[in-house]
Amino acid sequence: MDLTELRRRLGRPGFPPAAPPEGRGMADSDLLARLEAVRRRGQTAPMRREPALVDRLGGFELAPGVVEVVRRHALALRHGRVPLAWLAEIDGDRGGLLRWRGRLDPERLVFLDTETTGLAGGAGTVAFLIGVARLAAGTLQTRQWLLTAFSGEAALLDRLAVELGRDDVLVSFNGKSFDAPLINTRGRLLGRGEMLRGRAHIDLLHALRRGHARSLPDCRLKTAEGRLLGLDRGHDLPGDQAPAAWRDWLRDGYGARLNEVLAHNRADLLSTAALLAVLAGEGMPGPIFAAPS
Amino acid sequence: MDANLDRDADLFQPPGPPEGEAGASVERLVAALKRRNRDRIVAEWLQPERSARTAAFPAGLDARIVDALGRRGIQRLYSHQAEAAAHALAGRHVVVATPTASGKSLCYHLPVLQGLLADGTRALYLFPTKALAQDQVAELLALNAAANLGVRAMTFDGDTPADARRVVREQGDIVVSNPDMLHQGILPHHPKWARFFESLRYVVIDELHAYRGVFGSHMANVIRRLRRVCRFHGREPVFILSSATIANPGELAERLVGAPVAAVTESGAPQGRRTVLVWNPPLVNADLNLRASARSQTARVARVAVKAGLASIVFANSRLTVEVLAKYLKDVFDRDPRRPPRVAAYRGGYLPGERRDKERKLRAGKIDCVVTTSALELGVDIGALDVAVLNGYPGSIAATWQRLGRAGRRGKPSLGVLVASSELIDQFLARHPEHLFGVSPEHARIDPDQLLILMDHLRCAAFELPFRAGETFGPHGLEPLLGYLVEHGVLHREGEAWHWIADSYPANAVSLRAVADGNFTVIDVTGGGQDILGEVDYSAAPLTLYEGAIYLHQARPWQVERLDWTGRKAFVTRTRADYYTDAIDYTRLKVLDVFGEARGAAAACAHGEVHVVRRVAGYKKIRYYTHENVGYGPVNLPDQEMHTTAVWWTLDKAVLDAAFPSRQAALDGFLGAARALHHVAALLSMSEPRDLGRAVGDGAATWSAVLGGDGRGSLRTLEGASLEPDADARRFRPTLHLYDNYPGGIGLSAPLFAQRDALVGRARDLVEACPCLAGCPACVGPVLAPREGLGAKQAALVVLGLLAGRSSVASGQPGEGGHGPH
Repeated sequence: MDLTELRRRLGRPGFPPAAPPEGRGMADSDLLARLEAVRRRGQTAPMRREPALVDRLGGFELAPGVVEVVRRHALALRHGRVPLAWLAEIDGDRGGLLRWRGRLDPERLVFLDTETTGLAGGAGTVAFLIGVARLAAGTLQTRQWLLTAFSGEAALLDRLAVELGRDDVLVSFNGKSFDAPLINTRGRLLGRGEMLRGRAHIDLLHALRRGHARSLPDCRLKTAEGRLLGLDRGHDLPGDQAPAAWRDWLRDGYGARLNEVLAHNRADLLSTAALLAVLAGEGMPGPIFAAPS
Repeated sequence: MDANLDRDADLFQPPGPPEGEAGASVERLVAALKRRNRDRIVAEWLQPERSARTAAFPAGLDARIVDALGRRGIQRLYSHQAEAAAHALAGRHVVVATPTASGKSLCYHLPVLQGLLADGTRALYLFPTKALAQDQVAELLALNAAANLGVRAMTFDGDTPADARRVVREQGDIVVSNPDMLHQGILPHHPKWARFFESLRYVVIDELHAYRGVFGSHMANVIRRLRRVCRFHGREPVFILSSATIANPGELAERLVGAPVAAVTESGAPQGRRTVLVWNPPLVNADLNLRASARSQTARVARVAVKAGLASIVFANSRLTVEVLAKYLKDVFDRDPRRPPRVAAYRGGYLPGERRDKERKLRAGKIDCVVTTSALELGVDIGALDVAVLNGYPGSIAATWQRLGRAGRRGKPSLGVLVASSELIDQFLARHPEHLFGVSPEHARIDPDQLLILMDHLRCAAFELPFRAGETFGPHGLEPLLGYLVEHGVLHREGEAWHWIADSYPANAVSLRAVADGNFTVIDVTGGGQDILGEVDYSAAPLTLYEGAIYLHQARPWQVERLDWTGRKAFVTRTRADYYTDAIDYTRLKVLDVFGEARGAAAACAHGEVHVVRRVAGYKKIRYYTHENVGYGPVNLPDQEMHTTAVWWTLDKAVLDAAFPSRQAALDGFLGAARALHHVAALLSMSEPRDLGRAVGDGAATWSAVLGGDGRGSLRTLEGASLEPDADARRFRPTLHLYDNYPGGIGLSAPLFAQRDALVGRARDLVEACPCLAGCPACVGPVLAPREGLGAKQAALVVLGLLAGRSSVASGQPGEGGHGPH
């Protein structure tokens, strides 16, 4: 009743008008008093602690509010049809699609992908999951930091800063326009400055456009995965459902879908890595794969 | 740009002797008008010449600024400039309210430049429109260039290209923008602007008086957000505001900024002698109190002025009138198509390029007469003019002076003429011109805590920075409001903080100016092309762009062929029609909730929440010059709906039945009373008539009353079918509503309810004192012919008398109704 009342009073044009309530109306001050009562009754639960979540995700609590999940992917594996071992063989930008001068040290590449609460950008968009991948000890290692509460964001950003060495090169898909500015914004808001400003960064979306804008129907990651990597993500959680999955966790403590979010983010990281291997090698003669018929 | 330089230099120089030519011809024109139109001029008012009061530059002013001013011919400041600069330099918020063209902008340029040159601090300039921002940058650049100050002033608005935005953010010393851009483009991205905010010292808000009503209430909340973001970045900027003359600049500034503000209201600038005439068109029918049309009188005064070689500006209150007046004047002065036009129309809805072009021509003196709406009331730089003619009272005393102030620069004599229309307020002012000259201008009012507006900005603020327990945002306790947003899933509470979690950008859903956004584009498809002709804002579209409407642009007619409502486009073709069109609309209203009620002897008054539906039912075709009605057309458009607040009156059923000989008479009485109450309410609440709406219906939206072409009321059902007043006697319970013409209400109806006795009393006095016989535009509305039985005016007096609590029984004799036992 109280919420109906408020919704009606705050309803915007276009909302169907609610039936008039019984009895007398009330002034704003009464309304606010009743609202306050609603608040007290429905006082939200204190910060959730769910040790079970950490275990279910197969990670550990890096700091209050942040879970870290580490996975190793053997280089003998293929992502789609691309052997991950190709990554270790990258030595430079053979076809010039990356616009990278000089040698590329595979050990210094850090693949980056974030999951965010929205695509709008601005101060109200949060990167609730930041994933990185790099070659380590003969594997491709992914490291993901998931916020389980807003209070963990500072620790997450600090951990990311530690992760990035001085000479590391970021590799992303559309990260120059989206992920990097967003992380810079979060850094500003948490008093850590523009963390990624001035860092070497290869954005594969630009390379893809340079090399394949005419041969592909569009330059989305999904299209590149199908056509260039021979990969079908199948039942993967669609990326646009990730924010809702995280909000479900925040609001109701329902974390069942967070595992899928992590898996989706890892798959994006592997695609980014495999795509770099393909695009860096495009100077080699002959097509790598025939386009699927 | 050169023209600009000259003008600015003139602005600050002590006045020379009035330039013989124009000065003498203004005097001659005044004398000639008075000689030939003695019966039409109902008041004359002389504003004497005033000489300059000057002061020295503030102590410690950077030598480079002193040098730049010197190069621009400025050796001393006007007293108000020095006073304002001193407040700002001492870190006090300050508002300057002095007349048009008194050199207000220097009041803020000085402290801003001082902060910049001495301490490297930055400034944000906000203007209500983009056009004004461009003018100010030009002026600042001129000062900058005069002494190589090295100041980087950059515009940041919707036209700033994406690749230039970063440069503005990082390098702009003075960022010039508008409230909408601050709201949607800057504050939500404040982390990107961190360097700017970290060194922000002054926020300049020009044209303060533009921020009243809904727009001002939004602006106050945008400023709350701005100050909140500044605090996050470690700054408490000083606000410097400038305003045209209003009654309460200090109060408005304080409401807007949310902190004490020093007010500087005494101008030290010189002023030429100004003559103001109030002009009432001659009576053409004394019985009906019908007067000649204001338009033809306005055109006539403007014609005489232009023929006398005086640069003139004509203000009209609607875009339609602008186009009609421009046509009348072009018919006189621009008959030869081979010569450049001497008359121009300028209004909202023209494309920016076309407006810039007109502004340039005006500054260069290439146009002799410009016809405009409030679009040129604000400080767009159009150079010096001699005569201002106002077609009708603009709705407020402040706007009247703002418009009159457009004429008269550099100490030259000037003339202002207010031509009264047949509207109620105009005729009231023609009878009581002392209201115009003696009374202080209106108070500009805002209600930043209107729940709907507050909630909009609370969303935006939460997006910008998480709210913390104990934080404030206006006087309301925040927790319940934040709790509501949590319930709606846009915020998440974690401990003592509320974080934004929705996947949306709330500022995009909030328009500071209008209810619904989405301007309509008018596309000329004559000859198969697709040329964009102009823009019409959402609220005006149903009244101007229905299929069949004549759309006037630069006084030339186009006809609307097709309206794409969802695509916000109107397709028009050139036409040679000799008529224009005027929409017929009516309003239905349903009471949802009663907040308070008061009972009188025979009547009840209440206020509360209502649901309003407005529908455009059709349109009239009106022939030029003769103004005869040459046809009707139907209109089929979606209804405009809103929830708002209203105050309403009803009569007890027994009293109603006893007081009127017929239901038709009762209906006429309610419609007439509604008209008088509407205008009196606008005066009492110091708002403009368009801020309020009125409707007569049954309060349950089963029927509403509309005024026919003959001035008599008729009933319409929900579907628009007409209904006999006597058809369903049980349901006939007419209710007179005045509603707040903004979704959610801007806070007008509660004070009107509190003042209900004064309201009804003043409306009754007004109708009673009107000299007409049976009703005229100056009281209950035009009635073409007195009918048998109770006339509309007498019926309205009965209604108002009963509402005032007097027991009044109509006799049914024309001329006697309403004068029952007092």
